[in-house]
Amino acid sequence: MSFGARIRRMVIVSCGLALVRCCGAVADQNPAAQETSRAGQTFRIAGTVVSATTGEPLSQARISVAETRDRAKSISMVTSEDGHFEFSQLKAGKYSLEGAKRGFISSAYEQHEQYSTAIVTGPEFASEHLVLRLTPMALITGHVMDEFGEPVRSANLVLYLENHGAGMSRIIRFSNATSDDRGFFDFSLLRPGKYYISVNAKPWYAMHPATASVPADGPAPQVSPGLDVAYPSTYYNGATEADSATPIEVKGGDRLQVEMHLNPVPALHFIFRIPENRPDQPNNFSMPVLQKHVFDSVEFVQTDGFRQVAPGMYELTGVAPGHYTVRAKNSESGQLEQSADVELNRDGQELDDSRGETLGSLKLSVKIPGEETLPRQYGVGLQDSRRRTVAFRRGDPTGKVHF
Amino acid sequence: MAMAAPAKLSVACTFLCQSVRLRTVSLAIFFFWVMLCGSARAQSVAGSGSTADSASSIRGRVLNRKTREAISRALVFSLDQRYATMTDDEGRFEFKFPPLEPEPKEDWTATPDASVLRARQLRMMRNSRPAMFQARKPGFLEIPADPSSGRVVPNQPEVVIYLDPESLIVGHVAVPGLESGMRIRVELYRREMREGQEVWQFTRNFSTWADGEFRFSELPPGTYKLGTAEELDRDPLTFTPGGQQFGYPPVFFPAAVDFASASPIDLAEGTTYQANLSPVRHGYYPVKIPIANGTAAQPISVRVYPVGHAGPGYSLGYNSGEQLIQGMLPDGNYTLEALSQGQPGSTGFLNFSVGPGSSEGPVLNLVPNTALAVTVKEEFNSSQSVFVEDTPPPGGPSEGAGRRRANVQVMLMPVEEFGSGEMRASEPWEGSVEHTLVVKNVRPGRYRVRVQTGAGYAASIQSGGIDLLRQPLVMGMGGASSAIEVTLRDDGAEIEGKIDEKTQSFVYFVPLGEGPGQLHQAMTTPDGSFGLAQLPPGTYRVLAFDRQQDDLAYADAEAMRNLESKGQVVQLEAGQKEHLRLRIIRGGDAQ
Repeated sequence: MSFGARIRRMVIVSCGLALVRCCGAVADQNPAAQETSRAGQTFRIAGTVVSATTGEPLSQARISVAETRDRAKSISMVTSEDGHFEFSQLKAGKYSLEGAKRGFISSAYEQHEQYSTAIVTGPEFASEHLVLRLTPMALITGHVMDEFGEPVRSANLVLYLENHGAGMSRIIRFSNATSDDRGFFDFSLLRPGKYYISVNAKPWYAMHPATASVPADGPAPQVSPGLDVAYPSTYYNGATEADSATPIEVKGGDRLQVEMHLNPVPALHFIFRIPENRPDQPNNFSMPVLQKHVFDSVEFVQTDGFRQVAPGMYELTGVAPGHYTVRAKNSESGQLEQSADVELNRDGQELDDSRGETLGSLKLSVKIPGEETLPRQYGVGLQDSRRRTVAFRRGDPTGKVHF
Repeated sequence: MAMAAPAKLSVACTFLCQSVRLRTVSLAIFFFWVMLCGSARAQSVAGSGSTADSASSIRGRVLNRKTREAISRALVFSLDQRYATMTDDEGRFEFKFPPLEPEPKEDWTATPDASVLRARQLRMMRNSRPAMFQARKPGFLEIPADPSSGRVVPNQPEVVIYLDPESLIVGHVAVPGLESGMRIRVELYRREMREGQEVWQFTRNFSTWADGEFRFSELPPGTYKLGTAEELDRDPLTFTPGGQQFGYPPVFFPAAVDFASASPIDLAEGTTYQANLSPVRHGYYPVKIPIANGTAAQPISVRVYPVGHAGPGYSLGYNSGEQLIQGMLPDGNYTLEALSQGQPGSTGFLNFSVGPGSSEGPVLNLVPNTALAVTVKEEFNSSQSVFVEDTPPPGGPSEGAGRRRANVQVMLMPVEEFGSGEMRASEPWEGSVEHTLVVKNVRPGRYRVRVQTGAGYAASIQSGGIDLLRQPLVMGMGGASSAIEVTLRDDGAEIEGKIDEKTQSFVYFVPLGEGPGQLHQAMTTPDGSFGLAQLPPGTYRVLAFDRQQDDLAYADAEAMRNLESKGQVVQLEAGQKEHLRLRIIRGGDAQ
């Protein structure tokens, strides 16, 4: 939707420029053609659509022309194997020419950034050997490698895109992939933009024995400390927190290769106590979940799960140190309670669910100064002090927004 | 008490192997058994304070089973995950154990109090040592082919763990539209045995990378088939309403149009097989098949395949709102199977053709599945068999109350691998005075009938004059098939046997003669002895293997011919007691 709207805008901007360019072309015209000029004569717009990267003609592309004065009356055709397109019976005038094809970025004739070129038909203009170039969408391929330079299998990769929809800049999940036996992954059909990649994986050799053994004087585990490790969430290019991730600037037709390297860190063990004195609901508790701020959203953290190590006591293993949010379901309301963000970096740290606080709520009204009514579509984003968008709501005509 | 466990468990194993024949299940039981043995041994050692278990450490090596080369940087761990380490450059590892705590002098005659019991329990836990180790490394299979790999053998200085190198099937799907982001799903099937007959089990699928590449890794050696799932070539940019649509029908390796004519891939251990697939673009046509008697609330699953070529690849959807089966297919003749779940569910079959101009097909009728009665006749000589007490039917006649009957279960196992038949088990017929069972919700199809009984053996299984011990049961649509009659006898043969080696092995009794009979099997104790009671009279080929045979094609006469030189043929009369000594067949696979 927004993409289409942007195109329309850029074509209007470009009309003025088109005149200048086309006037330049007049000088090259065969003067003989001018003599045949007559009212009622029709003209053709024809040419070939090719890939901007390989120059090969493109079949199955939809090409459309519309008079710039009356854009609603657009006519279109689909190219065959030779990539040729042709529109005849056109009045003399000024036309926009646009091409679209699966896997390519839709583009107008001679479009550069915001500007494109209109085609002028008339006895003195050559409009029959045009070359319309379409740029393929971009592809990112890469490998996930471990600390020994060996491929990491079954790593979970997420591609994030900086999105400028609704007037706000937010980084959203765009796609995901799982690495194969060579650690290989790809993301295809990418439009130009600013992307980020994260990878989550578990070392294949990781072992996370419970530190608090059952019973306390039972046999102690004998696991080499080098095995009780985890890979932190890792972003391109090596950062372990989303805020320090390096963006990947993708342009049309790009074939980018990225290497993701994982380095293990000692895994942490957390003890979580479920208060035993809840006689009203002895079986009604839920395990806390670990969440993490990733760009502008909150994501669940995959863990090995909790193991009961003693009555009322649970141990969480295999977690990389980092900044997490621990949430538990409130047994009465069923809603997620939020504890304050915790810096989990100390081994054996105890998480206490009695400090949990209910999520705050916020109501507000939206008014536009000097306007009676609100626009049909708008949204309200809530950002925290670090300008991270923590919530987003679509507005309705009443102007009341509830977070 | 713990020492008695192996014998008991091996009986349980035999039963499970017969009924489920799932490798993972039997494996899990096997581990459980080993752990029991381990703790039992530790207990006895703690008492005597000698033998290998008192060693303060254990050493071992991890080797590649195929090349016998040492594997460095492999993870070695005990099953309870209390011990874990990595192998060195020569594939070696070592675990040090804490010293054994001696058994204190206790008064065993007095009833111990809780604290003594607890101390005893803790000491046992601390003194217990792993009976088995496992290893792991990328590029090797997670589940070892030989379940005894890594077992700790008393008095042996070293534990050897074999890792089986993975096999791969990789390749490309060549589709012209791939640069436009089309990803084709490749499906992998593995040949397995069900009731001694080959079936192709769906294993995994892989959605191709952007360049059309697919990779199936971590595969055990075996026989596989490979194909693409159909994919519509939908392009909103070039789509014209009412215009011709296109898609890629399934193609099976190397270039077959149906599953049955695909070439099986024999994948050897530790190898990579290259297989490329080239689906061809075809015109696709809309298909709409109304269901005459469906209800909106009823979920219906749909299977579709070319007539006479049951198999995967094609698909249609079900529109529950309009009770329509619809979708797109290339021109051709198809069979449609619609299955509704429920008690009972229903099944519908329909043949129809697709081509230009065919938009709405014939109407499909769903027919409720059949309930099949089973009468059980007992011809028992002895009264020593195990019986269950009948509960008198509430409010029913009281004559049947308190009669003792053998606990019988009848199983229907589908014969067709891609058919709509589902496995069904019998249940008691409520309120019936006679010894009658019912198998509910049986879909049309062909089934092998298996009888499990707590007493005796099934001497005959018949239905409408057909010998179901050797012939399949054919259920038609809404079929009013005649009841199954089961005759139980308790004069079966009794076998006691020994393997010529003191090792755990798996013994199979393959029935000989016309048609596939029922396979009987037993697992031996670690010293190689086994016993089997109530074996139906007949002729058997008896085979003992050093590992479980997941793919014993006993229903396939040709495959069994390879085993003719092996094992031993015995002819068993009713009531016969037979002693067998068997030579073990090594090297795993029968084929």
